[in-house]
Amino acid sequence: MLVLKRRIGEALIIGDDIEIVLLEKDGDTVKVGIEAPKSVRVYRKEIYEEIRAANRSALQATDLSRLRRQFLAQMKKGEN
Amino acid sequence: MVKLETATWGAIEVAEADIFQFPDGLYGMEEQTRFALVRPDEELPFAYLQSTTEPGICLLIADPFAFYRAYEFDLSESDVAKLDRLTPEQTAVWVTMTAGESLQDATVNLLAPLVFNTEKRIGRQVVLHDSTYPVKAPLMKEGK
Repeated sequence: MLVLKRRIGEALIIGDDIEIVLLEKDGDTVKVGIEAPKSVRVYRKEIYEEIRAANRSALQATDLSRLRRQFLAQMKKGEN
Repeated sequence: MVKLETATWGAIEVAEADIFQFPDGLYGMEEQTRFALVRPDEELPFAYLQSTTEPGICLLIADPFAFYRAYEFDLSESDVAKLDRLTPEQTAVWVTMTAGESLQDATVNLLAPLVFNTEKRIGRQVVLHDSTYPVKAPLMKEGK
C-alpha cells in the first residue's frame, strides 16, 4: 500500500484520468473530490459490509406459516 | 424436476425453470453460484432463495413491489450485460428480507435487489449506487 501525505487543496492523479482532490478537513472527516471517467465506479466501502450483513440476516430460518398469518392479518387490517 | 437437499424442508423437488445461476454469488456468499427460487405459497409476496449445493443456505426474500409500489431503479449497462442482455419481459426482482417478531420489525434490502433473467435463468445481486434506497427499509411503511 502506498501511503503519502497531502495538504488540503492538493491532489493526486491515479493512472491517466482519475484525479482525487482533498477539499476540506473538519475534525476527523475529510472531504474528497473525485474526478473519474463514468466507467470507473466509486463506492463507499461500508455499503458492501451492510449488504453482506443484510444477506446473512436473511439466512435465519423463518417459518412461512407464521409470516402468512401475520401478512393476512395485516391485509385484513388494511381493508378495515 | 430437480431434487434438492434443504435444511428447512428436507429433500424437495424444484422445476428446472426455478434454478438460477448466480455467476458472482451473493455479497458475503460469493462461492454460492446456483440457487433455486422456492415459492411455497404463490399468494404470498415471500419466497426463498435456496442454495442447490448447501442445504443450510436459504435466504428469505420478498416481492418489493408488494410493499413499495413505486420502487424503481435503472440497471447499469454492465449489470444488464452480466444478466445476458436482460430485457424487461425477462426480468423478475426480489429483495432479501430480515424477518422480525412481527411484520413491523421486518426489513428489506432495497439498495441491493436480486435481479433475475427468468428466460436465461441467471441471477445477480446488484447495488443501486445512484439511489438512496436503504439496506434496511421497513417492510411495512409507517402506519400500515
